[in-house]
Formats: sequence, C-alpha cells, structure tokens
Amino acid sequence: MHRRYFMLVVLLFVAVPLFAAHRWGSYHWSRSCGTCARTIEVRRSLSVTSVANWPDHAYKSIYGDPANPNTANRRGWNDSEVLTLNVTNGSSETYYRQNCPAISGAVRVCNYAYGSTGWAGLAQINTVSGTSHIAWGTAKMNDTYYTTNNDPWERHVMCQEIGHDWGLGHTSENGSSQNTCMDYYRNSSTNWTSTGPNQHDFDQIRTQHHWGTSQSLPAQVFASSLGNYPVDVNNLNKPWEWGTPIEWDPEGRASGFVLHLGTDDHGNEQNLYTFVTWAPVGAGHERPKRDAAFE
Amino acid sequence: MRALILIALIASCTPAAQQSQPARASLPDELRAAGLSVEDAGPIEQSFFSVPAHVYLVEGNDLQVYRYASEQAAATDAAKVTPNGAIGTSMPHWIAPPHFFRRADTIAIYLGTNARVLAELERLMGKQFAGQ
Repeated sequence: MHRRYFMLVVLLFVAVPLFAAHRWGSYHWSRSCGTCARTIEVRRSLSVTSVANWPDHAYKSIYGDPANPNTANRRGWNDSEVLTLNVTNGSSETYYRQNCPAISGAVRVCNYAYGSTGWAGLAQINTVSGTSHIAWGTAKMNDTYYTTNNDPWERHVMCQEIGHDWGLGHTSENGSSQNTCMDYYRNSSTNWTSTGPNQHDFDQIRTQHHWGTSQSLPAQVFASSLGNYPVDVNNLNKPWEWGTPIEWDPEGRASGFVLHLGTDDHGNEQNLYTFVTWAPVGAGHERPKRDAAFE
Repeated sequence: MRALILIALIASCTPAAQQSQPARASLPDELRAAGLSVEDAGPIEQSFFSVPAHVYLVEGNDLQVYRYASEQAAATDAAKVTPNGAIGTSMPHWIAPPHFFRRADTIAIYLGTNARVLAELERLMGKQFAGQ
C-alpha cells in the first residue's frame, strides 16, 4: 500500500439559504431608500512601511484582489450590493496617521506605531445620536506588531477592521477559519486563508442594511458574482477554494465547507458542500490532497 | 471622662477603610507572590477606556491593568465590554485571546492562554466577565 493518506470528499449541491449572524450590535449605515446602495468614502491615511504596503492592502480590501491565491477571498467590500465605496488618498503625514481624525460620513484608515496596546488593529465607529446608524468609522493598523513581512496577515487585519466599520462582528474568535477576514485566523506569510470577505459577510451586510423589507435579492447579483468568479467544481484543489468551513473535526480541522455558487433559474440559491476526512498528520502521513478522493 | 467617651464613639463610627488595615497588595505583586514572572512593560492609553493602563508581562504575555478612582467608575467601563469583543463602539483585533477581569476598582485584560496565569487571575479577581 503506497498511499500515505486517505481522504473522503463528498460534494453535494443543495439549495438552502446561507446562515448569517455575525453583526456588531445593530450598527449599520443609513441609506436614502430601501434598495439604493450607500456611498461611502474610504480615505487612506496610510504609509508604506518596510514590511507592509498598507495603501495596497486597503485598496484590495475594498476593490478585491484578483490575484489572491485564495480564490474564495478575491472579492472586496465594494462587492456588497448595498455599499458603493470610493477609495481616496488622505494625508499620510504622521499627525493624520497617529490621530486618524474621523470624517463625517466616511471611513478613515490609518497606520502608525501606536505602541504595545495589545491590538494589531482597531476599528472604531460613532453613531448618529439616538440611532444605530453609523456616522463615521476609523480603522487603525498598529505597526508596533508588524515587524516582519506577512502580506496575508496584514491583509486579514486590514480587511477585518474595515469590515467592522460596516457594522460586522467576528465570525469566530477561537482561531478557527471560516475563510473570511472577519474570523480570528492567524496567517503565516504564505497562507492566504481568511484574507477577504466571503458571501456570508455580504449576506450579513445586506441583512443589517435591511435591503427593503420584503424584497428578495435580485438574481442578477448572483449571476454577476458567478460571472466574475467562475467556479470549476472539478478543479478545487485547495481547502480555501472550498468556501466557508461549517464543521470541524475533533482536532479542530475544518471538515465541512460550503461554497455559494449563485441562484438558479428558479431563484433557489445553489451551494456546493464539501466534506473531508483528514488523515492524521505525523510520521508517515502527509496532508491530504483533494484529488485523492477520486482515486 | 466625657471627652474620652466622645473620642471612643467617633472612633467606632470611622469607616473601616479609613482604619489602619493593611492595604491590598497590587495585582502584579499578588501574581509575583503566586510564583509567576511579572515584568513592568510601561503605561499605555486606550481610547476605549476612561483611564490609562499599565502593562505587565506575566509569563511573557500582556496583562493590562486599569486602576480607577472608584469601583463605580470601573464598573461603568466594564459594562462597555460586550461578549463579541467590542468595547463600546471600538472593536480591537487583539494579538492574543483576551480575558477580562474586574475586582473592585481594577480591570485587568490578560492577552494569552497560559492556564496557570488564568487560574491565578481567577483566584485573585474572580471569574472573567468577558473574553474567550
């Protein structure tokens, strides 16, 4: 027996709604009508440090990163149908990066060595008095904790802090990955898991920003997503291509995933479920590869 | 004689806190007394709490200690902390799992997973009121 690993993968196409519930309180941006997107400026008071290209991370967190090795995280926050985001360049002088002054109706993103505060990133919002409508937001990256180049980790935190400014909370805080930047996964410098928003996040934003009251999401939104991010279900070779983890094995490894594919002609949401049984990792074993399932 | 009685009455009405009871040791000293390594890492200010903190490295991980003017002030800031990790309208991305404790006029945030440190903090401050 030459095989050193064994894995079982089961793929199921099921039409069920995705679960979404990682909101931050009831905070959300107001909109002028039930179905129009809210336009928000994202002003960068960011610098390029010796280890982090913060302006680039902010840009790609907003507009997406087609080159992200993690194909499930290539979209940016601007892909939300209820947000229209405009990235602009603010001053990157020390005063602005350190104080990150808020701008009414906008989000300012800053980086600075804020000291040993215990946080690598910090999102802050303020609300319109007497409401849960967000009036402004800031997102700070603490350079004190970025001492070596780790693009995935920098992208993860940047994307997450900006995501909080839309009123999103964490999907988890135990280090597990749901393949969204809103989890607490800790990236290595070569691991792009959880480096962008996923469909779960977009669903949650849409829910929080109450897309109408009885209006369903237009099918073309999903069609557009599919058009921009084609999925070849026979060529998904890496766990991060399998979508959002929904189950974990006793050793804490994700064992079930759901990938949102879009809406069929009948208006039903189509999801690809992947379940995997991992072999033990240790002497005589390797991490499994997905194509082993078909052998 | 009347003066002596009066003095005795006044003394008996003095609040306990003003009597010559030994002051409670500081949290870092209590942790040292428990055999943990504690190093002073200096002060910090956090925009989400109303007082500055002092940071100590306890067995190599951050412990932020916030001392307030009153128990009420500490309770007010503690009430800002939500189960999802937000503190009021601030959402930190902590460098390690946070654990929030409060004892009287002191809030402590421990960032780490050291079971021995967590056990000592719970013994000294009671169960964490928020965190992972």
